[in-house]
Amino acid sequence: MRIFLFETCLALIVAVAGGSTALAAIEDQNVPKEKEPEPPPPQVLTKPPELLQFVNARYPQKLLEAGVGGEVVMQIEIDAVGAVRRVEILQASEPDLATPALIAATQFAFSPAEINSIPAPIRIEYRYIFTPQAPEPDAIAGRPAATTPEVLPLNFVGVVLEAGVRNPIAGAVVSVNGRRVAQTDRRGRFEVRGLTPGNLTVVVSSPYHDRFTSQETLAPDERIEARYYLRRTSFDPYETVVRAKTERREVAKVQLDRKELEKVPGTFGDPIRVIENLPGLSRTPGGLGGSLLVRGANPSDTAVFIDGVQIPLLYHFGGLTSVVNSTFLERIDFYPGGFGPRYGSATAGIVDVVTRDLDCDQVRGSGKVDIIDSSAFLCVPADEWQVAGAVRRSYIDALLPVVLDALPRDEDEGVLTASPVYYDYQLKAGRAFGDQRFDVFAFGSDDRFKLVQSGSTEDINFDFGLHTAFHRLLLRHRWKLSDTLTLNSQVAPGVVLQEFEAQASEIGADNRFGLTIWSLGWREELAWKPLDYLTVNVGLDINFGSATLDIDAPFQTELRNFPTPTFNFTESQSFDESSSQYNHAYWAEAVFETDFGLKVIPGLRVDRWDFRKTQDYSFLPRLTLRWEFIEGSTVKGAAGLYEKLPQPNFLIDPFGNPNLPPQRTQQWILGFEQEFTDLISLDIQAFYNDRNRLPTQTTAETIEDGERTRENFSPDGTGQTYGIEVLLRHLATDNGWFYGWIAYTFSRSLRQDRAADQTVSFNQGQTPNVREERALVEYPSNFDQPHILTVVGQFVLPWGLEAGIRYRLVSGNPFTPVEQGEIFYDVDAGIYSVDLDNVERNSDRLPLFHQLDLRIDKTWTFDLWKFSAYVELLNAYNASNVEQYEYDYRYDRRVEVTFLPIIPVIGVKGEF
Amino acid sequence: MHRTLTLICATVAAGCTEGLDDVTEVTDLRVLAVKATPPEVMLENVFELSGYEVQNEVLFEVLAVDPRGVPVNYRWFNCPVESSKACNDYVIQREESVAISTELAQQLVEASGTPPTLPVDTVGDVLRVSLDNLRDLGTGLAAAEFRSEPDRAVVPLETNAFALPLRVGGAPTPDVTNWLTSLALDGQFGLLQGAWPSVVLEFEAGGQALEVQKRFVVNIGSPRNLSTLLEAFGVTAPGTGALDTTDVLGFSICPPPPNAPPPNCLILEDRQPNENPVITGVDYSMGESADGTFQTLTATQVPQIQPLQVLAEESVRLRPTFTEASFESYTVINVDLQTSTLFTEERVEELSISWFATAGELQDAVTWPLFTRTLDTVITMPDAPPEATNGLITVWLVVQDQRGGTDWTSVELQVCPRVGLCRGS
Repeated sequence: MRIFLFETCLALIVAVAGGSTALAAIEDQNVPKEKEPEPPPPQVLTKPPELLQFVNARYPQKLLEAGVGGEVVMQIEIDAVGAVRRVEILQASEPDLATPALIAATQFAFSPAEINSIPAPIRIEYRYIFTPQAPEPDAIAGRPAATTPEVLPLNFVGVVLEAGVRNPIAGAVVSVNGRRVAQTDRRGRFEVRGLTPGNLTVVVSSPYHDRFTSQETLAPDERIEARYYLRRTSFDPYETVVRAKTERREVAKVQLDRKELEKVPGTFGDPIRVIENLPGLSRTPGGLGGSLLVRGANPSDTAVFIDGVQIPLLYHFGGLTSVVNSTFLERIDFYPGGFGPRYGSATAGIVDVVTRDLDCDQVRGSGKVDIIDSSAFLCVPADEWQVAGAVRRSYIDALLPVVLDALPRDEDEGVLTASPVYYDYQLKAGRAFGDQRFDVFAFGSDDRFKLVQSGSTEDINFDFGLHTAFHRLLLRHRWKLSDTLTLNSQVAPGVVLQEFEAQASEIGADNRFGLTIWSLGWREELAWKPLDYLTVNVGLDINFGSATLDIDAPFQTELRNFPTPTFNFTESQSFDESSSQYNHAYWAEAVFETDFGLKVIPGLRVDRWDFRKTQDYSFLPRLTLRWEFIEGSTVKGAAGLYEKLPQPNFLIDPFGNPNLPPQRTQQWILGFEQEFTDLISLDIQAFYNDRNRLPTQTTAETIEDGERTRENFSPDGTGQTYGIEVLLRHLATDNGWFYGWIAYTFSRSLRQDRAADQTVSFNQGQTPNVREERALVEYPSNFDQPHILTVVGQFVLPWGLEAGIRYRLVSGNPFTPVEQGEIFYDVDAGIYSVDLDNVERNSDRLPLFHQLDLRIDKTWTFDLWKFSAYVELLNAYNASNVEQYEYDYRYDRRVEVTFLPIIPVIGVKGEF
Repeated sequence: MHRTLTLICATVAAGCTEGLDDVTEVTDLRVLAVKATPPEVMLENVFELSGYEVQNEVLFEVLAVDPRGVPVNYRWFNCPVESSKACNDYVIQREESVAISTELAQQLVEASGTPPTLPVDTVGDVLRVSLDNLRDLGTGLAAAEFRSEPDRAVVPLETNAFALPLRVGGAPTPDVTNWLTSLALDGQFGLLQGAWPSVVLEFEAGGQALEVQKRFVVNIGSPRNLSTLLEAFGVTAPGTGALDTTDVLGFSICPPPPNAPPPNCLILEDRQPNENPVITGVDYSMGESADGTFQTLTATQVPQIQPLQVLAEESVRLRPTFTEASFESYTVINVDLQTSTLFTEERVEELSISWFATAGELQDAVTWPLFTRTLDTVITMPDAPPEATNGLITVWLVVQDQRGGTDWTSVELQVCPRVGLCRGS
């Protein structure tokens, strides 16, 4: 009898074929073979196909006898129910192996792949490995295993699970005393009948796992019930990452999977912060990062979404850590520009954090502890539902007094500092109903400062609190109405709280600020593919908000308040205001595809803005072109209009101008992509963003019905950013030893607006005291960083170790050399002031920023759980990077302010 | 109570302000205060008197110090209306103001019969000059007026004082009209709530330049005269050409009884001009904690004939005292944010003290009851007497009210290296 040792490798690359597009491509034999059938957007592979039934291929006798092995690479098309529809031989090391492999593959059975959590056709690459093995004497004398009759006693049963995560391993081969006797089913189970009692050497092998060997003793009339845990051979065995070669429609989108996110140095293990290392994002000054400075624009010009729901903040305290537990992340879509009409209220970029559909078939959990915070995650299956929750809480407030107490200082000297305290939570439940899937996702974040006193028992009679929180509930329904029609619906109520309170009882100061915004968002997205070459996506995006502002603060409302060196905190006024916002948008796009690889995507978004006195429409056409002129080589381009309302402080009178129109940006992108291999790619983009209608200060007044009104701001501000971004990337794979990227950005960002100060004019013989309007002045924007180089690499080392490196080389931020201004002493106010009229704004630049961050991870895997620890070394060679200059009180001396000396960060994580 | 708690920022920044000069430490040329007397000028009778009989004068005195004892040059400028840039936004207007003022001054002089030669009067250290002569006279008198005492490193300059006569009234000339109309709407409410012309003093000493801006307040005593002023000088609301004060100001002022007040009018009493606060003395307490009983240096002892003797590293708590009249009541117009209506508020001045010293460590740069609870602060002596001044430390106290009123004094401290070596010896 011929005994084959098969090692099968599930696809390294799974080509996502979304919905009806793929199906049509398969059925139409005239359609040229394309690796990327086009799904409606956004098509995301949420569950890869799983091999449920493996069939042995016939090993050609002459090759077997000659001891010749080999492999056959096939492309297998799997339909929406998991059946093999078509097999194509891509490569065979031995021609005689091709046909047996093809015949076997046609008999395979898979679990259906899921795209957007809905079963869908898919095309995968499969490598069938032939390993010749000489026949061995039958462990059970004279009885071939293949013909084991079922009437024999069942005396060896078991289940094969993956160590640490307890996932069943399907297709694992079980051998006893050197002879293959069984293969595990989809639940990892196997059965063996008629084994001869005695000592048994059991070997279990699986393509992605270490070979497992166990010694068993089988007594007569007894049965062995075994549970075997196999350790995966890949460096990160607990991540089921299938590299999804998803449809590329956008020009500038970068998609990061969890594998690429969690272990990048310098991010505190926070996956979301990895996007700061991509082209298009400037470095946030200050060391902690956190601001989304996309292509030279203000952070407020970039919108942040979680599963399509806009959130007010992405990071706790502006940069400590993100507000979403990494366990919930599926991927992060980052668009530095050129995004489609699906997204609005942003003129620069989009960050869309996509959470994963729950897939826990048993109770699973994890816990993470580091020097800043701790978090826990638990996922529980409940009938057809799956429920998961996560929570994180910081404890800097508990550790800080210990650190402060250890600092040297005088006996009677105390230290009072504000410590950040934060928590966030996520709770998700979901289930599938045939072609439908329903998810409920509640998430929120809470940041507040707490005063920490150390070294003194003095009653400070002072307290203050800063509180920022948001809570969202997302109800989402995804329905595959037909092979050509998919409907996504979601409703998201939520609330945002911003509070500030300061009390000094001894001097009678009690100030507070409170802003509460209730909101309700509703999104509908319909994807329709009426023709092979056409996909139409339409949607509506409705947002309603009601804000209440409650302030008790020392407003300087006194008319003609003479300048003094003091500020009166005790004279406060109460003020409350309510307003509502009702913005709704409608969008549509069509995806035209040609036979020669050209993809044309015109789109239109219509926004209706309704905020206080602002009533306006925005008509925003967008166009994307992609042409894969040679397989793996794509030229691309995009152009579009993007608008958003100015920040509320620019719109609310009497301090703002309610008549300001939406800010507008015209984006132009031209780029080139080259896929050198399945894993290595190059992306080059040139971009030009023309921003206009930016609010800038004005002295203009309007007269309506005899009433003079100061406009405060006019929409005359403009800005431009242009540059080139290069991303050379090596993707992550399950068994790879390396992934990483090199990102380089050259860009310039300019602004034109009026200086903040105003000129008072003494116009002889004319209307007196008319303030002169200043001319617009061009200057480098505050975020102008011409050169940004980021190198990220992750390496797999032996012994469960993984090492990471990040190096950044960034131009210093521009600043205005205030010491060059005309400095004078305002003796009434007791301060030195600077007249910067003759100083070019942002005309000087901080020194070059450079920093190396290192990280090493070690994982210990046990049968039922795993434990990992990491050490991160921020600023490894202790570079003294100047982040700003601090001037003395009269601006004639300055010192360098540097952030983040070398800092080690440690953390541990347990998973089961 | 000691303020031993220090509020630190939650930052990982290194460096911060370490190595930068402390605002309280006087090591070179500094202007610590400028006093305008009076700090507020009332144009009370400008409409009732004919001709140019009305004469308002403002005297400016400067507390300028330079422990290096180098020669100092200086000159004055006039800034005709409010400037937020020490007149640097009046590059052209500076020249114009001189031209205007020359003509104005000539008219004033001719009308009042004052001899045409300027300066018109000199009384002690006070020079009376007109607008256009501020610059030239200041420059010319600089070297002579600065006093340098060879045995003292500190050069007090407060004896250099100049008067700025403001003489306005009578039939409006174009120059007078221009200036007054500017003041009338300066800062939107102009003479109703105070227009702020300023003077600018430029110093140069030892290669160091310093420019100082000091405002003074020009007002009308009775708000009900505002309409008369506007009408007299042809002031109209920008854009509307309106003459009515309601159009100009955006609100109406209630007429005096028995006139029926219009709806939503604002009741404004006649305004009393602000006066400078007056320091009467300085209380002090010495010892390790500087918490002992205060002793008093009266006004006649400040500056002292003999400095207080203090041990190295010892602390001295200082507390100024004032005349009762220093705490004046006044009326402000405030805005109710909720209803967007104006209302008046009666207030009493809360004085603040800015502290400066040639050596030692001052606990506070500014003390103010509404922020630091009390007006006193503590200065801690250095660990050794400052050699450059033979152990002498000067502490300046500059008091300010909320309306530009200013006064100052100083305390001399003799630092002794140890007990017996200095104190009582």
